[in-house]
Amino acid sequence: MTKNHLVKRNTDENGLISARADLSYKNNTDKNARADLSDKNDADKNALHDAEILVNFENVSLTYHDKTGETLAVSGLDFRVNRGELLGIVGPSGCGKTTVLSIISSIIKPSEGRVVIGGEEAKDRRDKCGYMLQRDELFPWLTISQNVLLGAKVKKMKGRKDYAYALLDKYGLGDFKNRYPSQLSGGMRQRVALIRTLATAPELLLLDEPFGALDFQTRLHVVGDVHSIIKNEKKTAVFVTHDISEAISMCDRILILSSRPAKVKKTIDLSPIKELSPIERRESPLFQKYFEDIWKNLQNKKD
Amino acid sequence: MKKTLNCSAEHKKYLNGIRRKKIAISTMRWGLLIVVIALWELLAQTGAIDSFITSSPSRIWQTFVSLCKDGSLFEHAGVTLYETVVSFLLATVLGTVIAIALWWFDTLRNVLEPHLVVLNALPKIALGPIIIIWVGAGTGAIIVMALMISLIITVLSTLNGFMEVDKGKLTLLDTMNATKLQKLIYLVLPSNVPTIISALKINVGLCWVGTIMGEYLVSRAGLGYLIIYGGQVFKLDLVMTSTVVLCVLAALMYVFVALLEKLVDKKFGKS
Repeated sequence: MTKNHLVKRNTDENGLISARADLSYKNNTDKNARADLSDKNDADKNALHDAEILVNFENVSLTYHDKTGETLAVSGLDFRVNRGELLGIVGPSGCGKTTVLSIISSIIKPSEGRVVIGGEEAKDRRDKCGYMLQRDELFPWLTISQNVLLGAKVKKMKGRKDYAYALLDKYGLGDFKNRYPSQLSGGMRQRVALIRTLATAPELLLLDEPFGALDFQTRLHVVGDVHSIIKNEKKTAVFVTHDISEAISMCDRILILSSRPAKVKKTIDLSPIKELSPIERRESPLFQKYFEDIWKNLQNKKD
Repeated sequence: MKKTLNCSAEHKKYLNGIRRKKIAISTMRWGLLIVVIALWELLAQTGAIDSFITSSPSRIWQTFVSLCKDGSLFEHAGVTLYETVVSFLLATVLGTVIAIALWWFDTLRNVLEPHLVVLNALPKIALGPIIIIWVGAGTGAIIVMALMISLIITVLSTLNGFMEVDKGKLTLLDTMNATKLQKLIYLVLPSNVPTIISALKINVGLCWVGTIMGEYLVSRAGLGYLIIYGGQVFKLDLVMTSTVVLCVLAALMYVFVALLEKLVDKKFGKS
């Protein structure tokens, strides 16, 4: 209730971003509004080429098989990612958050539904996506500059060197180009990993708990760094995490997923604190309110 | 100020302690060797042990010098060294290639794995007569013998390293849409350089075993032949001299591989 109120107020105050707020508001509607969801889907499909929307994740289901049987991991999951948006996905552990990212990047094929990036339905979307994993996964036998260019090398993209080096310079890693990963701190390594992801100029960044392996102090810094790099470079990103406060401090909008099979349980719009940095957000009085809201939604998952 | 001075003095003491310990260890190492040789010589000279059966350091030296003079030592050592190095290189290259093939083709790996494990457990020396009949009693048979002993363990340990490549890094390459060949070249091979080097280290020893066993069976030339011949005609001086030369050669080859490992570890060892 309060949250819907917040969204509306924001829309009123800022007419310019009303379209985007509207969209999130649409996703915000609860189960009672499920009935007219199909109508909305049609509307969304018409708006497929809408410049505002980068990713259409349409009615995706995934069943996977193993020896013990089959599991419905994702069921009719449906959401949009707007251009330039940092979308967070939180949910109870094992609910299939990582699976969602794998489906977006087409590492896993969904059993039903489809994913459209930039209005284009492609079988393999890996060239459009840049993936950042929990650990930095830097290759210890390659220098920092070689590591950063790994994605471009694998994807056989020419002429990424200048851009990658410019990013290293811009984000304080220029002096470490010829060092090896073992000579860098955990926070620096994670920044290198992000730049490796950015070096192939992906349309969409997929961040899979990229701070999970860092200690708390480092994590606060790196969250700030990554947030400002993504915003500076005007990237669209989907950020998966189990850490509620991390999601609030980074994202523009948060999807709360239910436990398996994953469905969107609720959408939290963070536009009121959107302009704040992660550290500032943690100090904002709204922070606790969002936290409680998400926490409550993650708790009563059983009903 | 005083505190730092105290500290550095203490640190100096600590460093000195480490150095002294290091010197003591290496002194004892060489000391042990010298004492054993000296004792051996002394007991042989005084007749406490029968040098006809045990030989003695001085007699080994005399045999060594005379073998050097007629050039037969170089000939035999050369043959053995050649056989060992060839089988060592073959085992390493073939072993790595087979491991790559097994890594690449899952079905092939699943089908062959139990057979390889059984072959590995088999004492390969039992195949000696078969090898001699098939390949002929000569250098070929000896190389095949050494290859049999070292190849399968190379395949198994290298394959094991390939299969244990960091899953996260494989996922990373997956997200980059890497082909299997790219995964092999960019990740699997470089991350397994230490595994391959440690397989080399084992292979050095195994190839010497294979070569000497092969020479025992074929009995044409080589240090293994000298040893078996010396044993048959009861020339213990010849047996001991050949053994010492063998010992030195094997140690040199091991040191060479260990150096290679040190060099490679600098780049690939850390993770």
